[in-house]
Amino acid sequence: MDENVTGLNLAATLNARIEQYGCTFVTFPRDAHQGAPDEDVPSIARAVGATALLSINVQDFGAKDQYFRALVDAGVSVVSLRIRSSDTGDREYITNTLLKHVRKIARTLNGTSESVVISVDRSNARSASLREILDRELS
Amino acid sequence: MGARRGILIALGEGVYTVPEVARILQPTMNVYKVRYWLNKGLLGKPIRRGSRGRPHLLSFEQLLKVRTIQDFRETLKLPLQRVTPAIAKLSDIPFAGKDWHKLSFFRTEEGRIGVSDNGHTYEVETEQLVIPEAVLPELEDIARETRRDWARGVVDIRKYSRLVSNSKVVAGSPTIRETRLETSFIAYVVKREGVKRTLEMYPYLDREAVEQAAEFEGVPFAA
Repeated sequence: MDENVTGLNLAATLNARIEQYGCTFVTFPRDAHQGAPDEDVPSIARAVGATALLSINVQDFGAKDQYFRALVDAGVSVVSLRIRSSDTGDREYITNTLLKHVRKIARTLNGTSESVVISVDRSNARSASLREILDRELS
Repeated sequence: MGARRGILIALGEGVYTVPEVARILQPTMNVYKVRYWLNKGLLGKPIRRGSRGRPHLLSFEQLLKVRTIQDFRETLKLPLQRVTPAIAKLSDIPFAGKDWHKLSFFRTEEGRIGVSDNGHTYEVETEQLVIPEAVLPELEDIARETRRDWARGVVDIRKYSRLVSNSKVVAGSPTIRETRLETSFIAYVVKREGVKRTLEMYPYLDREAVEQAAEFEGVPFAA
């Protein structure tokens, strides 16, 4: 979970509800992660045994998407929950949205050998590999 | 991965949409100016030129160029058309690897901009040798700030001492200094939960940082 997410204390709530899906949420250790440069994120993820970074995003998806691609290129999958201005979005909303799609998220992460971006919003969870994203961009 | 056809930045590289550039350089910058300068070629080629549904993507260098151009314009108090050629060259200087501290700026007899570069004094637009008239230390200050920020990869957000755009952190998304907490997200939490609850959720933040993030993002909050 990226530093943004840590304050929401989501890990315990999510883990209590998703044990059966073979997927565990872990919070990056604050001393290693707080203010860390992007280049350190893959090694921090490896240190805690994380295959994917959970990130919650409020606006400017265009620039953030490029950051996620760079992470995927470095071997870290990304679960990106997008909150739009029309969403009611409090902590409960975030938890419920993730829970709604967690089975698909877990299945995707467990079933792929390459890193992926999983874009999650209220209605959907879509995954794509880096190659698919880059190819789609020029299609 | 095989051959890649799309855009891929490296981790640690800043990337910005036009609205984000305008937001970071508020209050004097706006999206119309950035787009205009981009279309005029003042900023160079973007990382990605936008199309319907896909925003322009600019680099950290281009963010700094926008700020430098704006600062030059405000200092010179001249219309853009008149200073555009000079600004285009001036805005490139900090990125050209010159010994910046050796450069000094002045206004020529014709009211144009001149530069003294390691003993060579010339008018920026025409590169003709000239005799310096009025020295413009303000331009030197602007250029020095640009060069410093280029070297450290960080733009301080003016009027918000606790906020930065660090090209190496979340690809330059505005954050609270020395954290990876994005202003957009903290403002979102403030909007939903209030300042007090946000401080409880992020106990290592202080009130000033949280309030600056909210104000920067235009989110009202109770004192």
